Amino acid sequence: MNNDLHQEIQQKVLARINHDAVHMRSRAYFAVRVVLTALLTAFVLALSAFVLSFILFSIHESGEDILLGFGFLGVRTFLVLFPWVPLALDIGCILVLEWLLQGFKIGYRLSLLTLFAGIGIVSALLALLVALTPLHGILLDRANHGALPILGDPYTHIHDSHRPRGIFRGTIESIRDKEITLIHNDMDRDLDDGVRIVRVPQGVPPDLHPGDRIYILGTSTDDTVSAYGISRFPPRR
Amino acid sequence: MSFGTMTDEELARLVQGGDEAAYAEIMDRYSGKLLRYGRRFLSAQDAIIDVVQDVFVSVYENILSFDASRRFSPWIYRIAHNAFVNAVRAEAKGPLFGLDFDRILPHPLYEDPDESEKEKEEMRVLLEKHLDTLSPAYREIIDLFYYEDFKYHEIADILHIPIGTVGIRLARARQTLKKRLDESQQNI
Repeated sequence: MNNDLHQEIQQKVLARINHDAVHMRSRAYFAVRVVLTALLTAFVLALSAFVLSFILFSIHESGEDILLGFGFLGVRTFLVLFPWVPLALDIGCILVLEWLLQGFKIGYRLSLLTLFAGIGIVSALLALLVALTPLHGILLDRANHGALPILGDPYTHIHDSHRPRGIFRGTIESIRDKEITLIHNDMDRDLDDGVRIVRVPQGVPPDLHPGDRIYILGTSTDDTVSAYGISRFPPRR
Repeated sequence: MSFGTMTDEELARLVQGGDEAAYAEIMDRYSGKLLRYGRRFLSAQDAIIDVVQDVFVSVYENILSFDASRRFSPWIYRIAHNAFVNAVRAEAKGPLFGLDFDRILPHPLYEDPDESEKEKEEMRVLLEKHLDTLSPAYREIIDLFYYEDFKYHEIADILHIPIGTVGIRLARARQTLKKRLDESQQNI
């Protein structure tokens, strides 16, 4: 009975092979598949590194990393302004990579958490390398000149004004006691630029001088700002 | 040299060269094993036979991707595993096991246990009575270890899971079986 069943299965399969209904796939087919998977993996990894480096660039360029030095209120504002959408995109890239690598021993032999962390670390290291290059600065300049059709939008939003959240960016015109005259300019080409008086109750930090570009977290009434935190803008990387 | 004295890998190499008789020998060696393996997934005999046929078709189609310097049996069982999981999924019209929590966190690296053939045989007798009471994920791994005699790393390659997950599932399956045995002895 069992032998009959085995024979039946064999004959059916061999009949399909003999009637050309089933073909052996060529070695080239498998080679192309491996190459395409490798290319796709490399592309998604590069995309992940690019997005992560964009996040690093945008929080540095907008000055939002300064908020981390302004205590609880600064950290809270930092979390509100954090580019969560690019981060979600990056996590999506890592999950796609994880799925792609599941087909290989290097992927399925590791736990999902270890693999996720491993990909995240590789992506972060590549992102740091990208961040050392002037790539994002060049792309930002292009976006500001309207010469970056697809990627332009995220770049032009880096300098968005966050006045309602108490953030002011601009150049020091003059310093007097606990007061700074600020030429407010977010570099976002909007209409909220102008001269503002910034009161600094804790005293103006001694390392600030006229001409410095500064970042302020505070509360504003009309043209006066009461600063909660104030710091010089770091130079662009 | 007759096919009977050849290893699976030698036969696979002949099939890669277009030898259909060698493929008939491979099917002869594996049809019984795969039919038994299929019973861990499906209950209807006709459905199992259909899937085993599909497995052999798929093996033939993909034989040139097999590296004949490695063992053939984990490779064919990997194809069979996918085919049976897809069949169960199609029958259930939804995900089979859902999120596999055993795969999320890393587990300590388990070594193959030093079980003698006698101990394995005793375990097989125990399994005959209680295997069907285990969940599908445990049932398959127990089947691969005790009936198909695969090593931990080979099971990991068949199921595409970490070796630590193989070890933890086998340990849990043994514990569950021991508990069932104790319960059944108390009932006597």
